[in-house]
Amino acid sequence: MRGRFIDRILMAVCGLSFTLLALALVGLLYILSPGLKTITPSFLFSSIHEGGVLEPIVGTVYLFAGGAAIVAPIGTFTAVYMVEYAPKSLLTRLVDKTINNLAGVPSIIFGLFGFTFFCKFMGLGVSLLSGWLTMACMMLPIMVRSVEEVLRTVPESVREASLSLGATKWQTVRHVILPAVMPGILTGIVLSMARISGETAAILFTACFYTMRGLPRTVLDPVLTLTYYLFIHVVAEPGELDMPSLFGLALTLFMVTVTLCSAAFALRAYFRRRWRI
Amino acid sequence: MKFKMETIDLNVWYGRKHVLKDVCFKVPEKKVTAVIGPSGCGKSTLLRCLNRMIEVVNDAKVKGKVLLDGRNIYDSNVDAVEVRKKVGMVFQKPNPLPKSIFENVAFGLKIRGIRGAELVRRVEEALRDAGLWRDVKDRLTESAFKLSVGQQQRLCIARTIAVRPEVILMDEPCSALDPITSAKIEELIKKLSDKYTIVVVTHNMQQARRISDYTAFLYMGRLIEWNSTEELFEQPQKELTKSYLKGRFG
Repeated sequence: MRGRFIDRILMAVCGLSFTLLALALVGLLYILSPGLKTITPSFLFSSIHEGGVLEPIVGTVYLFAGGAAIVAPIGTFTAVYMVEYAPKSLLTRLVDKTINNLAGVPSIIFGLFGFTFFCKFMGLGVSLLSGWLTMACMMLPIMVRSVEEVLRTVPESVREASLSLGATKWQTVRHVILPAVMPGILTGIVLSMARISGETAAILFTACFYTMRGLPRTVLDPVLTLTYYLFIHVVAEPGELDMPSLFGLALTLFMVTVTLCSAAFALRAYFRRRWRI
Repeated sequence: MKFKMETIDLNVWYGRKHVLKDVCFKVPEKKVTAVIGPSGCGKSTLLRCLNRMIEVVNDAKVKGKVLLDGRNIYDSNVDAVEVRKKVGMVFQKPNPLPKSIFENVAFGLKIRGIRGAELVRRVEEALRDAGLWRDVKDRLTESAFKLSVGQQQRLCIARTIAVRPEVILMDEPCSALDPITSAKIEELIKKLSDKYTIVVVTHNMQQARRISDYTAFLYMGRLIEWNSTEELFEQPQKELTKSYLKGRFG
């Protein structure tokens, strides 16, 4: 009797949470829907001087691509070292936990760090390059963690098979493990890009100038992104952009983020199935 | 009789657990040697010592000597990778590499620098010797995981013999297989003993009797008896061996 009562309560709680989430999603789409009409090829592909969002879109792509290009090799090799090479000691565990905790650090702190270290100390100024490096710092823990996770899904018996054939540790990693976890590495890249896709705080003082006009010509030029452009128009200079355009901008950003996250989940699901023999 | 491998006072610990105790074991050249004993007696551990795969296990500590052609493979100037190039291994559970059927066999050859036509020839030869060629010749690019378990084990044998090791170690190679497939693998082991020195760990006494020329009986980490298979089964010298063979414990 009592069990059934608890059962019902649990079901009600679960149902309520689900309904709330569904409502939130509908609400979000409703709020963003005025922007739907704005999203036309001419809006997406014309300059900000003509009421478009070309520069922020291209800037966002630049920033993502550069950050990913920096973080992919570093993150992969860090994870390979942690899982395949590092001795199973207290220090290794400590470093591993620290990397995990780094993922939870608020992005504004990364922004401040990037500003003081990359922009000032290294003299890179407010630039695309500073933005890349700051983004890479933020992406690193996610990248390392997701590659570590896929490396651990490779059964020990596979490593043994390779070693028993006379392969060295590095040959095993290079020719057996890494090709097998390649989809997982891709997932890691997409996941870490998803982490920074909505990022504003970290690039606020490291990579963006609103006053900059046109696309960056070198890596030392500042860059404009969707998030920053939206932030400027909502907070700093309200009224300069009309409402539908603002919502169009938000919707574009929303879709970029959702696409990245879905891609990551699809890749991950595909990869998890592979080892089930 | 020439001994290909020999262990002298071999002791192994996993952490504090003493799993092999003063084992002196001999492996005659180009014969099949079986290692029998109840589970947990240290059979697999002994086997792993023979190609230094024991070092992959966490916390394992080895003391004593293991000679391959009279040379201690645990000497500080001997590279474990070189040892494993000479002493191949087939595992209990088939463990194909996450690659195509062809690449599974080619991998060991490639890391030895074999390329091109020679590579293709050697892969085919190995698959033929393992009795798998007819089954897979039209699907070499398919994933090895698509094969049946028995075929996977043959593939593992094929990739081991492709690199022409001097010794092949087999850790209960039939335990994951059905009786008919096991019989085929047993036949294969017998055939391979013309060319290779083979050590087979098995908990199946009948199997040891069918396929091996020599048998060692291991119990609680000690080598109780070692003799030609016929003599060990017909006239065991030790009481323990007698009762084990009669099935009094196991």
